[in-house]
Amino acid sequence: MYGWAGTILTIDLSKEQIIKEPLDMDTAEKFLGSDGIGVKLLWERVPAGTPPLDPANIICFGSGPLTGTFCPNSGKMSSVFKSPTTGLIGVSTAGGFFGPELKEAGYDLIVLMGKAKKPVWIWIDDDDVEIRDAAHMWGKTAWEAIDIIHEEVGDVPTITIGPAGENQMFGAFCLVMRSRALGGVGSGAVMGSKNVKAIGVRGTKGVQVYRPDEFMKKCKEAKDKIMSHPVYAGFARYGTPQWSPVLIAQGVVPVRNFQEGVFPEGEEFLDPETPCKEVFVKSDACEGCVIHCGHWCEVRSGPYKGTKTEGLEWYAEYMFGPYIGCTDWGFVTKASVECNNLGIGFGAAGMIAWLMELYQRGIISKKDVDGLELTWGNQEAALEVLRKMAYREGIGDILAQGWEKAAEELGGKDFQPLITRLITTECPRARMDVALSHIVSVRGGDHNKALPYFAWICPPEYIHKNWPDWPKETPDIYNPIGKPEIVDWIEDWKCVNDSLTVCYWSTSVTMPGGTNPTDYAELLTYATGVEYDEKKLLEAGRRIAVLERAFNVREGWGRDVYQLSPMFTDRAFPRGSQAGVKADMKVINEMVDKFLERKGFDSKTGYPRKETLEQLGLDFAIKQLRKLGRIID
Amino acid sequence: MAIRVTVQYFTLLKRTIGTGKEEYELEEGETVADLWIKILKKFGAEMEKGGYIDAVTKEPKSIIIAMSRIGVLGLRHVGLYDGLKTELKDGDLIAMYPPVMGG
Repeated sequence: MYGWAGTILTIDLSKEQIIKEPLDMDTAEKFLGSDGIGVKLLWERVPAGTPPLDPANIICFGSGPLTGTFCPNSGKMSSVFKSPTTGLIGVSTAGGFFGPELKEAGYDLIVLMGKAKKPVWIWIDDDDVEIRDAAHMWGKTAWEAIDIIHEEVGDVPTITIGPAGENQMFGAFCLVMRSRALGGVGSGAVMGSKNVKAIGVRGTKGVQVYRPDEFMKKCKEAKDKIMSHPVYAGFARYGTPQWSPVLIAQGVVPVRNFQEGVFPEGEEFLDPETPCKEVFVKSDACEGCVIHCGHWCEVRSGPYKGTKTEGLEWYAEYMFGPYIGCTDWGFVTKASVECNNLGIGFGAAGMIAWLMELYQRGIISKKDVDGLELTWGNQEAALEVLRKMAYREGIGDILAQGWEKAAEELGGKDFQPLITRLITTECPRARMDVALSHIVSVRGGDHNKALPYFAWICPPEYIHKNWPDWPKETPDIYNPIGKPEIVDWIEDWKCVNDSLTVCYWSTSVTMPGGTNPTDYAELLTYATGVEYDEKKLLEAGRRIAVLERAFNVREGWGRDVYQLSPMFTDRAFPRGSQAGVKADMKVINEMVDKFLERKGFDSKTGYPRKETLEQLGLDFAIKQLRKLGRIID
Repeated sequence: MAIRVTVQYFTLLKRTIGTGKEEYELEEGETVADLWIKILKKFGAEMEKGGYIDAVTKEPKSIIIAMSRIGVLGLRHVGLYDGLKTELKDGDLIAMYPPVMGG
């Protein structure tokens, strides 16, 4: 077997069975890996309408055919499940070393199904797979659980959940090693619902590639492309916090739950040089990464002095910075460590900003939040809310049930910064690229599935040369023209990235002129021995993207799921360059309609067209959708 | 009539020229190109050494010049559309940085 490991490891927790199945090569060729094979398994193995925290839901953790090879930036992994955060498909990716180690142990994917009778953890030592008792680590933080695992089996890559996952808090994540996360859409809650505390893996088998000489030559070429790209040097020094200038320039810093778009009191905080001075110690990389956007961090002064972590990045900076009115990198570091230990996704932590706005507006008072003073910038209160969410105490129990239930209890639904059921950090009021890519995102409205980053950092000529059919207005972020085309393309390409699995910081999603589909088609051909070209690779991405969207349709989500919170349509920033601008749903809906039609879905119902599924070899989905009346014949 | 604009430099560009933020006074009707000439007079050597400008044309290379403003045509991204010909207005904030990614 070349490229792929050749085995899917299914663990039936209810029956305490370990099942090793050969990877179906037709599936592998068409769905590539991790994300793609995962969504096919989800479709086949989870009955329609299964509640996300029901034992009948599954969670897949996977690697791709380039994982564990010398292909640059191929050290990622992804997870696929039905999300308790959104009710939509749950797709999350993470860096670190788990994905490559899993592959080297001989598995393309792990599938957890059913529910263990008591807390367990899974130990994978090459061919030996055990379901071990986890009574001694249940109730512990994620980092404590990792220490226990390392004590038992040695220093191996892990996936763990914290108390938030155990307690099935809606936005709990699976922590990968100590600081990477399968975040955003509740992977940790699904693990917790299955009574699985952790997975540890040791792999010593390596990965075979079919044409090693050509593969290595191409890897070198890809590495040189990435490292000579103008984005590279800034990424290597600052990591994702280098994003701030973009939001400052556009006047869309998400300040105090998007009430403001400018943050003068946070000017120094947002300067990417500041974390370098205050908390970064040195760069760090995932396996196979040549960019090293991560950092080892240690708080050098202030109340959180001595707090250490790795991988601190932009999402934490914003959720624990402007979103809640804080300007302290020491606090950002501390809050990140708390999230990692408790197992709370940073998106779910965004609920704190919503609570603070309700508090500011008098919609809730101290008595509603266990006596906490939820004023903007109150760091102690924010940390206490996190703890309460994880352990489901008081106000934390209300929040742990998710955005909808929390609004039913507390009110203030119109102040939830949601797009298509998920929290956003990007503002969709004026930026048409953000509005469309977020609202149609299959996992809910964030930046991870289809934000066309490269559209506005490269010269328009680049886009016109590479995609001559796209309208000339495509790179203009404030113009709706061209957005359906580019978001459609990015979504397919991102599915390829997440299935191979390569980090999209290194590919043409984000690096115009960087590594592109042709490069990866060649790498994949040399690695697996299966012939790919750009067309075939992108068609695989489209197949995955369409099946993910069809899964949402099967689960009951039609055209009406694509929604912006009224906070974006009914209110505007009071100052800055976007003062007074509100999202125009007429314009946005026109883009959504055009996008859906391009994707092969009916723009009125949101349902897939039969011929779309047939053309992509997704015939197996037709019968179920027809039975549910959710397909356009 | 004179106008004042703020220029903010970020990330590696800021390190290269050693300045994070400054204000410029311009005449009404002057453009980003006029501003660019003034910036070059101060920091041209450092920028050229850092590879941020074209050695021949002296135009910006590998720099995003970003400015958002609501106007009759809606918001425009200077770096991509009107480019150096964009007329500046009193109070404009212009951000300059090498291509960045993140989020």
